[in-house]
Amino acid sequence: MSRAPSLHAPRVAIIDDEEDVLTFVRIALEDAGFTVEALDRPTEALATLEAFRPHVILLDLLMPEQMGVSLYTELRASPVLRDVPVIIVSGLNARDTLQEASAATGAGPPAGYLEKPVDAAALLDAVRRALSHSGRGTP
Amino acid sequence: MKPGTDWKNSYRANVFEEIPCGIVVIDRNLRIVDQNLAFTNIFGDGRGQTCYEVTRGRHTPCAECLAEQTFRDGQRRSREAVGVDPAGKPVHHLVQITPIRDETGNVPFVAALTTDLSATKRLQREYQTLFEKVPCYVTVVNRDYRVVKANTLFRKVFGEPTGEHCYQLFKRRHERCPECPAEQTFLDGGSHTSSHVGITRDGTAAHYVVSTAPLVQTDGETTHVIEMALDVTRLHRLEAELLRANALREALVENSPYAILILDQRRRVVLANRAAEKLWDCDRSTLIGHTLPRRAIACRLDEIVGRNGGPAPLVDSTIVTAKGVEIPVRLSGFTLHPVEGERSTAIIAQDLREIRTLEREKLDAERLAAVGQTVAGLAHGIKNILTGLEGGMYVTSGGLARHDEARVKQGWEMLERNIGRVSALVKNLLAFSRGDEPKPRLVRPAAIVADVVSLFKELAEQHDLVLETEISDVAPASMDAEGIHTCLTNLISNAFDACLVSHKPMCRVLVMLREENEEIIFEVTDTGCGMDYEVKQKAFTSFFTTKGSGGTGLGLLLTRKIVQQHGGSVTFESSSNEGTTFRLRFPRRRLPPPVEEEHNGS
Repeated sequence: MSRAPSLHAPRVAIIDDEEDVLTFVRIALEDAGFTVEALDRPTEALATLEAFRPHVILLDLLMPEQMGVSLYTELRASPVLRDVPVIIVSGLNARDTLQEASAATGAGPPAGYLEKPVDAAALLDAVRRALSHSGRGTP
Repeated sequence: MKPGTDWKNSYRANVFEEIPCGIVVIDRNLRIVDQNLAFTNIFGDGRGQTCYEVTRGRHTPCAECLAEQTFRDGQRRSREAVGVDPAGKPVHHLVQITPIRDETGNVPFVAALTTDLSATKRLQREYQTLFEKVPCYVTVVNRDYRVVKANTLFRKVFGEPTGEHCYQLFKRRHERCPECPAEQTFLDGGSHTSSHVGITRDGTAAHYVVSTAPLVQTDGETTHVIEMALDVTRLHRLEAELLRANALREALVENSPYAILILDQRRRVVLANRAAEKLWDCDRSTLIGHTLPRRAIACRLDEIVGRNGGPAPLVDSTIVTAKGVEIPVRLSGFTLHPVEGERSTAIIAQDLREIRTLEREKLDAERLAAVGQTVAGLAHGIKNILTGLEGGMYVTSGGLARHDEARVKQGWEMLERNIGRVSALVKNLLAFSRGDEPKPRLVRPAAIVADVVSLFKELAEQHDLVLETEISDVAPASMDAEGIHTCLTNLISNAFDACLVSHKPMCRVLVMLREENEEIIFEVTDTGCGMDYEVKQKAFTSFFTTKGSGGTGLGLLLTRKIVQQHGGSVTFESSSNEGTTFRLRFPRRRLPPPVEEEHNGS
């Protein structure tokens, strides 16, 4: 950890089963001044996220993609996380699957899509854009 | 002795003795005073005894004694009587009483002439029994075609005849039949037979064969005819059923999509259907009556015929057409045991060309689908690796810029790991996409299992896993040992991973080999984490892995490909948190034939 997390820094959560992707995203965002929670087990993510109260969530649509989709609909149903912008980070062209699932469960569309491979600049850009849309300041 | 009177007395005495009719002379006390030989032969010597003692075995005179009546009025009289012989047997006889008068006209004696009717009576009874009991309708009709007499069977079915015409009773007609056998008999006095359709009392059609014969002839004229009608309705129905069944059988055989041949014991073709003509590519006239050449069917007939009436086995073999073309077929057969005549063999052949093509197409389609999945999965896998490489470069360059050696090391490790993943991916992808056909040889399946299991022994000990085997004695089979080795390695490796992920204190991996119903079965069971529904759905999808960066997601796909090349199948059962069993089944008859050993030793 190159920088101690600030109490006032915006909090970003990343859920991905790829260990190297988690490491990369965590380091890149921490370098930019965010506080990061990196999670590799989607099935156990919800409780951790509700406690962490992130300002932005980065979600991989993991294979099998249904696991990512179902976590997305759970996030949209959570009273704590309902309004937190979610950015989908995936190697899959999964917009259709996600839109179908969102429509079926009444959850709105995600705040944005990031297609892998993703570089640090694009990642930070997407996170900052999501934060400004939700009226939250960015580091 | 005066000539004239003497010979007269002598011949009278002789005639009295020799005449084939019993004569007895009785006095007014009904005592027998004389009897001839014929009487003696029937009733024994009764001279001096009463006639009722001798002929009836009675102690008192008969109720209506004819002799007494004749003694009274001198009239001749006769009647049928039943006497009893000395042995107690009844004697039917006709008795005729004739008065013997003296010079004064009185009747001091009567002569009783008895004619034995026993034989006639017996014959009459026999004819009556025959008439009544013969299992057909017997009637006597007069010239008016009215039934005057009928037997038991007729009366049972048509009731007691009350003077109806025979055509009314048998056919419910109101006029004579156009071809009446009785009429012909009345005309020519001969016997006639013809077939007739009648109607029974319940209105159903009945079939008869009617024979007629003249019965009573007076002055050469037939006054009555006896009609014998045999009910052949059931026979007629059976015949119709037989014809129908035959027509059905012929249609089934002729229109069967399978080629059917029937061979006699000398292998001569006695029947060939349309499909057989098509399969052997020749007109059936060139088949029927000719010996089927040995080469026309590749296997022996006794291999395809079910034993002891059991079900016929299905044998995959080949036939050779009249034009010398070899065709793959599935054969079965059975032996026909006719009631009479010699045994024959039926052969049923299913042309497998279309099925083989479909099987190949299905396999190709599965491969194509797998390629599609592979491409999609490949893109996803490569994108993750690229992100990992991107991350590695970011972390490394950040570390270099800040002279942070730990971070440089972290980034470098990320780069190394992801480059390693790329090479593993490429290697597995090549293994999978190689169109290599397996190189099957006769191998002992147990040896392959033992070999693979030995490779995992050390790893099992390191991780405190129990690795066990249950290996049955399975006969050698034609398999690509290397391919099966790869399959088992993949399955055991997966089982180990499932155990390690589960964090259970003691996990077990069991490798089994056995044979059931001509199927060689390999089984790998673990008591590890098991699969949930979603993982099960994705198990055979290329590049799907639950092992994060530790797997390429090609293992099961490659396993399935190898198993399918051996004509086998992969199945699995799994429960989340309880464990998983993977099962490879190889039906022996679908195994590829072993390839020829190469002589150069390569």
